[in-house]
Amino acid sequence: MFKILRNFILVLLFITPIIACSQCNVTNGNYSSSGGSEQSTTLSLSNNNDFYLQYENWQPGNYESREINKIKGVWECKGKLVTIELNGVKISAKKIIIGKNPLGLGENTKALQFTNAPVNSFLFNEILYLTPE
Amino acid sequence: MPTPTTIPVLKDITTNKLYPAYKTPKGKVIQMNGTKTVLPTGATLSAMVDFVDGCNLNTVIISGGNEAAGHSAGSFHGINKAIDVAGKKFNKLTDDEALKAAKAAGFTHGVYEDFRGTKKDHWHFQIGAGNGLGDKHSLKLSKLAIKRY
Repeated sequence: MFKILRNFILVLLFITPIIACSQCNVTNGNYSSSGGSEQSTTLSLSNNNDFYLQYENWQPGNYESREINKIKGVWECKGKLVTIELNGVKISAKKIIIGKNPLGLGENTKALQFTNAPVNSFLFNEILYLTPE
Repeated sequence: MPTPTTIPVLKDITTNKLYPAYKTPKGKVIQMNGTKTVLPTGATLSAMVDFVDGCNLNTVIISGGNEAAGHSAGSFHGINKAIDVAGKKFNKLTDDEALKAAKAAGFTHGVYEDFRGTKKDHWHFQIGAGNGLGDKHSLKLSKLAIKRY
């Protein structure tokens, strides 16, 4: 009896971290770029795992004629990592807490930092901030 | 033959890797608004440093530079000839002060994009006419072009 109980506890100890790591630790909602340039990106993560990405760019002084790109898909999440697929390429972003910053945002503001987007992608090195509901 | 530009040496004073920061030789701080914004190089870097040094601010937040992707087709950012300076909510500058500093630094064209009620506001300055900026946006004019949305 003791042996069975001991083995059960051992199994629990082994699988608990695996379960914890595979759980999603990213908040659903709208994430937006910080602005201040002729481009803007917003990523909406829904709780049904759909994502909606809107990316805009424009010539300086000509926002009315901006180019708008809309992309829909399914997002995956493991721990602090979100993965979306754009044009057949999987792109990941990690959840971060931004800390002290020059943008006047709270240090505990949550954001997604894109770490593996291709150099020629508008998401290269992008940081998208969780916007209040 | 054009005079070769002396490229200023910047000191990396970054404290949070998400927001790189550099000190100019004159002690002013170039504060990037995030990892996506790329420092220009060559003559545009030199002009940006002169702009920052010429502003009456200790720190200037830069929100656009030599990004290879993300801007419109034909953007001067993609050819290393433009910068964006975060707007009045971030940098306590007037349009006249920004115009004066940008012109003295060697930028030739610019516009202030005023997005009311948002944080998208910024000054865009570039070297040379093009990509939508022409005579109306010349920094030789007495007033900076302002576009309100």
